[in-house]
Amino acid sequence: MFARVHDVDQMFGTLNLFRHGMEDFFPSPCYNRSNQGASVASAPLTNIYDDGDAFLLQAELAGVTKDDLTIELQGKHLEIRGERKNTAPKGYTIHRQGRLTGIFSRAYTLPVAVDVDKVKTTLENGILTLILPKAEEAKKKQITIQ
Amino acid sequence: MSTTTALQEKTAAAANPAKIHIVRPVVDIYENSEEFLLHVEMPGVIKEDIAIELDNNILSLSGIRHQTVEGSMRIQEFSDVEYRNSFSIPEIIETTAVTAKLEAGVLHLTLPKLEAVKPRAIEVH
Repeated sequence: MFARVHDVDQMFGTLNLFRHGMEDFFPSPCYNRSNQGASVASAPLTNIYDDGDAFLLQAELAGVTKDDLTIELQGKHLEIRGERKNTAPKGYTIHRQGRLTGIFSRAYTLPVAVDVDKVKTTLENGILTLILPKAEEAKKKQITIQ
Repeated sequence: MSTTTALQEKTAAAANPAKIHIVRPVVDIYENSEEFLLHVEMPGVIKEDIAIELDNNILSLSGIRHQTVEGSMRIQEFSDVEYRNSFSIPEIIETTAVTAKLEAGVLHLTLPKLEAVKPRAIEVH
């Protein structure tokens, strides 16, 4: 009996693997405009949550419009890329330019495949939100004891 | 953007000091002959949680981001935060005419110059 419970733990042990492998799956972005030059902007900061049925991804993209954003998803692989167009308005002198500008991209490997047709996206107040429902075969299922 | 909101937020932050980090937002500052422009990044902050005060040529900005999410966290690179900064602004600003607009997580402030310092075309008689 106890052995069986242990087996179930083993089955879901992949979740722990995911947790340990976090840094590889989601490399930290590097904000360093001075090193990269003003034309190269870095990857957006990201939060990812898991409510069991879906992943919720939020990325900081202040000033980016949806026309300047491309999202690609294939199975477990997600890529967000776009352009920050924070150049000086015409005819103005620049006193300070702390905001990033230029092209950015970030790729994510999710722990399980996502149902591409059911993904929902919003871009509001500079935060991109993606709701990524897990593919049916990837969802955790309750198993009834017979 | 009223004072009441600013006070409420300060009270909320004081009641919960450990939870909200204060960071200095990234800013672009531009100037032409008519005005100064300040573009301040505050991603995730809504209009109601922004306080702007102008007192004795000190412009103080505060924007608080409150996030509500459900589910277990997989990765977290940003969290609740207060964006806060103060700017000493030149005395040539028409302080009553300063305007602010929040667009896509960026606070846009326009600080017009006093009429007296704006360039004028002088007619030859």
